[in-house]
Amino acid sequence: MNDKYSQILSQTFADIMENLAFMFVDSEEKDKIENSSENNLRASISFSGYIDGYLEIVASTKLCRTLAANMLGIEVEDKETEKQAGDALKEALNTICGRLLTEIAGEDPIFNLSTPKTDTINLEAWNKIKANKNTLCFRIDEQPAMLMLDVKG
Amino acid sequence: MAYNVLVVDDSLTIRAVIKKTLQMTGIPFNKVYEAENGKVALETLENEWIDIVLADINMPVMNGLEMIDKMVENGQIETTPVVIVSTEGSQTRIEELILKGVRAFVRKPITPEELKETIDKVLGKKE
Repeated sequence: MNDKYSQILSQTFADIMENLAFMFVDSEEKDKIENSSENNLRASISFSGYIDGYLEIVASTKLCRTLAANMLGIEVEDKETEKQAGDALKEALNTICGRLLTEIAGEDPIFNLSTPKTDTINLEAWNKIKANKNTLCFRIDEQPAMLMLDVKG
Repeated sequence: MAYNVLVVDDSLTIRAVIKKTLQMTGIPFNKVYEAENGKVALETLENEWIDIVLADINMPVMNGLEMIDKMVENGQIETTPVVIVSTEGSQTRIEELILKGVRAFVRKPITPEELKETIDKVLGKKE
């Protein structure tokens, strides 16, 4: 990922997480991101228009439950956060993607965004995403999170 | 006067966030209906009195743009105000939607202040 995209993505991610869920994001070096052995969630979205590409976010289930709790204004221990963890991650990604594209391309171009999808990933997939050159690493509430942006062309 | 609102978004989390944000605006609401896509929203509009629709664009089954087109076809866009609540920020798209009859656009993440200002403006215009 080039420096421009990397900077815009990091700033957009931090802004959205703060505004959407009152969560504060710190950039983290890749080698400091632990290999999470618990179930992790991934949300992904593709976009086409002025530029085409793909954005995905991965985070621990624990972090996603905190995200859901903050968005819904309920306690993390509430069972509802377990149900909404994936949906919250998906919506955070959707919001990040929309904002990111405006930051990159300005307000004139129209983009078509896919409906975001979520799945659970294992350690092998986690490590593969971490190793990707287009992945940026972060820490939120002491939990690791990663964003991967792949822009075609 | 208390209003009936229809919130159209495929995310249950976002629907809950919007409902909570609506409560925080202090605007009197009678009932908040929910729909997970444009198709369900159109069915709700057929069966219930709705004062204002808050709709996302990017949804499965029937997206917000398709829903707006249907509302233009059947004339509902003129009688039921629609506000788009979306992550998208393309002015070109917003202008297209406004030309079709959409009353306003609010970008996610929404704040109670923004939502109140928008709803006041839209429902004020309607009256």
